[in-house]
Amino acid sequence: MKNRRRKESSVRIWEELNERTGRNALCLNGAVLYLAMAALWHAWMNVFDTGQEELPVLAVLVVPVFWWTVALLWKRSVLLSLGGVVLAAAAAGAGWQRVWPGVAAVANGYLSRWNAYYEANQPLFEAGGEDAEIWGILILQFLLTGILAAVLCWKRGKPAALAVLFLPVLLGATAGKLPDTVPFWLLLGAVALVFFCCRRQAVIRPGEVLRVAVAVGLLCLGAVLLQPRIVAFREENQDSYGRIREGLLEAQTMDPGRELAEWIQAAGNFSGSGIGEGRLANLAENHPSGSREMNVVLSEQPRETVYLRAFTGAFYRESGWEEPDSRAFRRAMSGYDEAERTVWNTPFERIQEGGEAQTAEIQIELTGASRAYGYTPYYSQARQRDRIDGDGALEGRFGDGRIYTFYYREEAERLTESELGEAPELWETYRNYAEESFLEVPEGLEALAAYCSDFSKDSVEETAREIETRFSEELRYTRTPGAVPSGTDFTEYFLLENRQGFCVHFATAAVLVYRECGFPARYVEGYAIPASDFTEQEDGAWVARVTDYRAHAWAETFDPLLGWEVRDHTPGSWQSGTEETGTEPEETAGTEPDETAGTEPDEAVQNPDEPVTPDSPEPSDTPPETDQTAPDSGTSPTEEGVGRNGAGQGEDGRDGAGQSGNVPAVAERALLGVAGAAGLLAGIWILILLQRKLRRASRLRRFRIRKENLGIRCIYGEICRICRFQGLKTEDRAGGETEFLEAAKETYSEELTPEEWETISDYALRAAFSGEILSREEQKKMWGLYQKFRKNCLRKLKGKRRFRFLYLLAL
Amino acid sequence: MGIRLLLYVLVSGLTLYCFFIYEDPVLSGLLAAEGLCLILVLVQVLVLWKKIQPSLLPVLPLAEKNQKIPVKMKIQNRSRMPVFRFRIRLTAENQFTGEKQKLFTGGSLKPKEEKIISLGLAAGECGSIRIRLEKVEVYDCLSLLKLSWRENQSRKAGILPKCHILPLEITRRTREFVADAEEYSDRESGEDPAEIYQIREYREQDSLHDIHWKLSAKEEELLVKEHGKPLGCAVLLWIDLEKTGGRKREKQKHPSASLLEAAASLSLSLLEEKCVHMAAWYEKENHRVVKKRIGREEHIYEFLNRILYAELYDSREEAGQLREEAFRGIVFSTVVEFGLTGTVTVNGEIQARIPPSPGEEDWNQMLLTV
Repeated sequence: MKNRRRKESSVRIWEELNERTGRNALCLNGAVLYLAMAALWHAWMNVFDTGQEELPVLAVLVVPVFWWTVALLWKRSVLLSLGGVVLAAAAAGAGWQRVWPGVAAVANGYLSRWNAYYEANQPLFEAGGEDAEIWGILILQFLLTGILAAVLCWKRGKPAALAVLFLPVLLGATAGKLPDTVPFWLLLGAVALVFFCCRRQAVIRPGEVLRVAVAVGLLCLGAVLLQPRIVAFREENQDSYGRIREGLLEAQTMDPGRELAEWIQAAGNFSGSGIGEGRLANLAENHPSGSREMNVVLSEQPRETVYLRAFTGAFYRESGWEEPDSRAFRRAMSGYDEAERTVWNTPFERIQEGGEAQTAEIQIELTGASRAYGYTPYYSQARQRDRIDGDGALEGRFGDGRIYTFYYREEAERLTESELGEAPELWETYRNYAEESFLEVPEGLEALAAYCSDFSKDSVEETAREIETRFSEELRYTRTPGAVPSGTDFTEYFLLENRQGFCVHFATAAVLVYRECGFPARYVEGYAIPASDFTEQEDGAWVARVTDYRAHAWAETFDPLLGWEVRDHTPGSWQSGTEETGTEPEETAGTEPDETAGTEPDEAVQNPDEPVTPDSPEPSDTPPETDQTAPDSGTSPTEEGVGRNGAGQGEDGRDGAGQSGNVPAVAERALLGVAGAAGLLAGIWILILLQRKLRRASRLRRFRIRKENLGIRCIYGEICRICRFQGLKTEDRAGGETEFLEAAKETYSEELTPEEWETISDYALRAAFSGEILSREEQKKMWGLYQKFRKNCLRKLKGKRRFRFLYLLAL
Repeated sequence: MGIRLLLYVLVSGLTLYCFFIYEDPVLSGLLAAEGLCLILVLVQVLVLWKKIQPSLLPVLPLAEKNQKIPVKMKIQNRSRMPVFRFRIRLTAENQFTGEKQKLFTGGSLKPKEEKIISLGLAAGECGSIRIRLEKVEVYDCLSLLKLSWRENQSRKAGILPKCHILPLEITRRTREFVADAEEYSDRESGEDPAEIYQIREYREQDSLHDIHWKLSAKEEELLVKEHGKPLGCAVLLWIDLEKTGGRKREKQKHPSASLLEAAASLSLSLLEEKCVHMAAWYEKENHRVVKKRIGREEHIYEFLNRILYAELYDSREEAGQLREEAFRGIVFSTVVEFGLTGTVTVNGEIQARIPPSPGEEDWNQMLLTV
């Protein structure tokens, strides 16, 4: 007999020993435990290579199952259980030399899988032989079976059971492999069985188990039948699936604080940090704030515009540029050690070996720019402790400023092959890799292809010149180009329709044109500091205090000799050598002449129609043909950051210019809609509650008034209102009440007794007609009767009527 | 249900997340299984909602302290689907002292099955124990989701107080107090000429007015009539059932159950002393004062049976007014009031304080003068 006595209460209620308080049959318990653990180990060995056959593992499983069935499920002895654990620990300790290698062998199974998936080389543990492994498995079985047995015994802690049984799935997911179909469904069945047996206050009958097993079997069958349909659906909607997947992967590496800050700042490609990470969404306007980004110190007077690269974009997507795939780079350069560093340093070392050019030193001290990037000049040398991500960019983590040795571009690019040192062996491989990887143009950009069809493809220099010419003639620089209409490609819209934009537009278009013409090209963001920004200091150094006005985007093409070189086609950009006349606070791109490789240094290419000069007003007029829309995110593709993890990105082509569905934007709108609706509902509910509170408070105030018996009359009126609500026709005047009284007595005999109705009537009549003021006690009594009546009526109301009673009528 | 559903949705969300991240076909199967499972369990609980009909069977109306009262609850599954798990919440409350205890019970039912669950109930204090069936929950076969609904069934059982013989001192005034009554003593004579106690032969001190002339003439012997003694209530026991505090916001304290025990003990002790008395209290439900004349032992149990089920009140003024009206023109030799704070007042003077859990010694030392 269970006695649930509470310490302080003298009232005791308990349940007699019924069938339901009996325990499940021992055999059933043991069977459930064994089957569940067998499913677990079957799945484990399917995912991880344990080096053991399944039969011995399932055979030794009998030992821990038997122990825990006796200790917990039968005897329910904590002592036995603890004793078992102590014994196991003692055995493990005594047989340490056997057990530990066994456990290590199991762990090695996981590590091997992990290494294979991530192509890593995590060292394995020193494991023993096969017989040692079985000991390790036995220990693990003992522990895991104990947890499961505890859950079955006390019928609590189902999440723990779920975690134990899904261990192969969870660990396998981290190592890139999930169990196959059959082991997986067996696991699912085991979970269902354990959950079923963990029902509290229920005896498990064999017939019930069978019924549930059939139901679970049918469920699994249904899922198995649905599974290929889901897979087929995914195949048909691969694009949407891919986008969602990319979004999730990016979200994993998202910096929420930064995202929030940028969202608050709204629009603008360049946030406070200056680097837009290749985003092509929300570029209706660009408004630098003039925030201090960095201080740049040169050892000598600069001879050209200094380009500091931060972000490199390799793959053009609807939402923006994605970084190069570092895994693809590693795969391509897999035969070489420290390929990243070698590739980065090769241009510098070749120039250095040639001995024909002079180095310069640059020091960069960040004052506001994002510390996620390493801002490096071209033809510079990476230091030993610098971390390079593939062939993209140097990673950030500034300490107290970085100092680079570099060669000026103008000087470096003038060198011929004979004036350069030998290229390392991997350079050819890298060249091939670059020429393959950075020619991708997404499918569906027929208009762009047509636009590029008459470009020269003989050499990159010629193409560059043509780009320069045509951009200057056809396109206009402005910081307020307007949003790209939904369903339209960013570049085609810029080149063929809108024909105006700022550096991001020009750089993106230039990269794609180069690629269309067959020249590998990349998109770069960073800072372009004209020589005029530097001022000489007393110690002879030249310092530039760089603001976000100098944040810039440009293209770069691949030169077989020296790697990537700057191609800046934004109107007003200068190549090396020409002093810049543009000053702050005007934007960089609007003040520099065009900068293209191969043109004379002193040639300032400016579109004569271009109104954007250092002194010209900011162009704010809208171009005639374009359909400007408000710079909100609703009309342009959703802004997405680019994840550093290039895995799985970039292999697929684009899904058609402007034709793909805008799934993230739709989801965002849907979320906003749902949030808005929820907010509206919450507001309405608050209003309802508020009005109810006010009305009730006002009513209660009236009930307390004794003057002229107003309180009692109001209470009586309220009672009549309730009766009316219930459907009784009454008069709400205290006169000629006989019918009302009789009807109320008859109808509401359960709510109030006849004497109470008499009392109500008596008080109401006296209050109305007698001229005397009723006593406080009588008023209180009337109030008590009203409360009782209201409470009893309310108890019988349900659903809509109750809601109306309480909240709309506030009775 | 809301929290469980939320957890299930979270787990499904995690599966969906993995489904997008990994391209393993197993995940699509898991997603399908989770979706189907949710539908099936939802359907199951919705079908079973309100299909379980519990009902409390009648219980013993009266019991003693710490006596086990068997309570049976019948549960019927009205659906054709088996109920793999259900749970019922019961509360047992001593309405006099306010103490309560909850119990959760449950089980499983086959389709159309009816089951009886046996419960036990006991109370250490006297009062009226109310067993209420409050809530029923039904789960699906995997106990993932549940639906619940409220029931409002209850049964009452009275726990009689233990009566002790108290050391009493009955004053002469009380003993000789003559109060009108319709009953007369059959053991002794009195002064009420309305009733004849007995006829006997004449003795020297007898008054001539007492001679029964008719009978005397018939018997040819002087016979005297002795008058009856009306058994009026000399003592009033007023039991105050007011909750302390009086204002809603103050914690409502319940009077101690030993108050009832004291009243019952005093009543029994008075009866032992052949003192007819009256027990009275204000009954909130009927807005009246209940008066119970106690002349025999069974009257005590009748009084207890009635007062055990009385509800505590909180309007002192009304009770006071009704008390005045009820006893207008009636005089008692002694009025003993049992107060809500455990005090025993005799004719306005506190003579004893009842401790919260009095033992035998406390009763033996509770000397009252009535």
